[in-house]
Amino acid sequence: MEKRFKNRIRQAADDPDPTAKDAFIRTYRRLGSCREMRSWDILKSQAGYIRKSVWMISLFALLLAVVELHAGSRHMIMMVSAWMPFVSGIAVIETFRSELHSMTELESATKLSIRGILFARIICIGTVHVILILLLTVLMARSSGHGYWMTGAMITIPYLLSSVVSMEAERTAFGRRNVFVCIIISVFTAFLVIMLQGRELYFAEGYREIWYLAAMLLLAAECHEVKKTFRSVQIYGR
Amino acid sequence: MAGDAKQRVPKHIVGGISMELKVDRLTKQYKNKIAVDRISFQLEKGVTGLLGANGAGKTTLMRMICGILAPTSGDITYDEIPVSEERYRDILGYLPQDFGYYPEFSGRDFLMYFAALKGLSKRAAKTRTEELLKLVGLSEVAAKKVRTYSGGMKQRLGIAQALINRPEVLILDEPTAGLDPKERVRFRKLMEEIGKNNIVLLSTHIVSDIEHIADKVLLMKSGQVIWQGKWSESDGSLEDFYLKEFGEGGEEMTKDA
Repeated sequence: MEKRFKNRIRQAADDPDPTAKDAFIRTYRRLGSCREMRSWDILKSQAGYIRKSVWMISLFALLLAVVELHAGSRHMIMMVSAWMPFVSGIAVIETFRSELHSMTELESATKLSIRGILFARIICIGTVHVILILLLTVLMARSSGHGYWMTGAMITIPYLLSSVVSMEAERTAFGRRNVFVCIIISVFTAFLVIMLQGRELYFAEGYREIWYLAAMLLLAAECHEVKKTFRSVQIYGR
Repeated sequence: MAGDAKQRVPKHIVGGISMELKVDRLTKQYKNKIAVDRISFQLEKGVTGLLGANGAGKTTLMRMICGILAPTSGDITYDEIPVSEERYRDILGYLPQDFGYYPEFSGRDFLMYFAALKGLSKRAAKTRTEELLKLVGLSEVAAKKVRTYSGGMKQRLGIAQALINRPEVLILDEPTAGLDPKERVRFRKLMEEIGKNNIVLLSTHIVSDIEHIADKVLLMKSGQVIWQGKWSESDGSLEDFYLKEFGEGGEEMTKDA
């Protein structure tokens, strides 16, 4: 009923004069009717524009874990760990895609600014990936025989390693121009994981502190890289 | 009906908007080069043409005015608002000399994306996108991927993007590049219309782009503004003036490209 009423009004009236409409909107914007963008608005503005491939690759990691779990595979944790560098590699490509497609200058001049865009992308993808890692850990911890903490470390370390190196590479001129750099880093990290296949001794009780320490150090490095990325954007064009 | 709509807008709403973009002793120095050298000027409503040969510092100046490049020294404010603030970017429209697009975007997606980045609600963005697609003559191809567009079509899309938030300050860096003569004439008319209620700063090295529409002209050479003032048809040909003032050698500028 309301829709029909609205349509009738629309049909009964001509389009407003564009000049007057412009002046009207502009004046009200000046009077403060145009609100500042809140963090939620910033996240919403980017969430819908993150490419499906980013989510598909994350989903595939989950599917891989479920399938391997049902199959009772001994290699489940290694398979998933070897996939994690691709999850983070694609995420880094997505985060830096403004540079890759020469959109930085246009995006910098918007209300959101390039820093806001970067912030939104990192938060959106990062949140999904934290949930993914937690889900994978819970899902695989029992059958892996390594316990929750060690399973979490085994998934997180390759993810963080690939992410840290990819972010460092993406800040170079060569890395910015060549997407395949992140893919190569992911392939190399996955290869390292596969090399550890069958060497259960390395994950034994006595060595666990080393893995936990490595995970913590990589997490600190990841935070440092994110900070460096924000700083590099802040001085864009200098 | 349109006239009625105009009357319904209260007088105090339509009028009374002060617009002043102030550039004060602006300098940008790179390692061994001063790209912009202590430039000062003020812009008010109207079209301002920024003329200068390649390498004169036009793009650097425009980037600083847009707040995306930090000056070495000096200030830029719009009605007392520093250009680094979100409030300023809210009323800014910018078309850089070169810009890209995400490969998966159609023309409509491109405009919707920038509408979102400029803080428009989805509903307002849809309406504004369709308005602008019509304005720049891209409605028919709005669903096609931007990568299939010709250079002129991409440029028109870029112009539409710059207008999406109804900017009070419109900065256009070489906007006529890639436009055919017919599109160029249409563009000039559009700028003339927009300039009636906004600050439009338009950089070019083609004199004819601004000769008939610019209310004010800034001439840049080696990072400095060497001449600024109002220009009218009674003053004669702007190109002749340029050649007279700066000699034949300057003058990578052309009457028409």
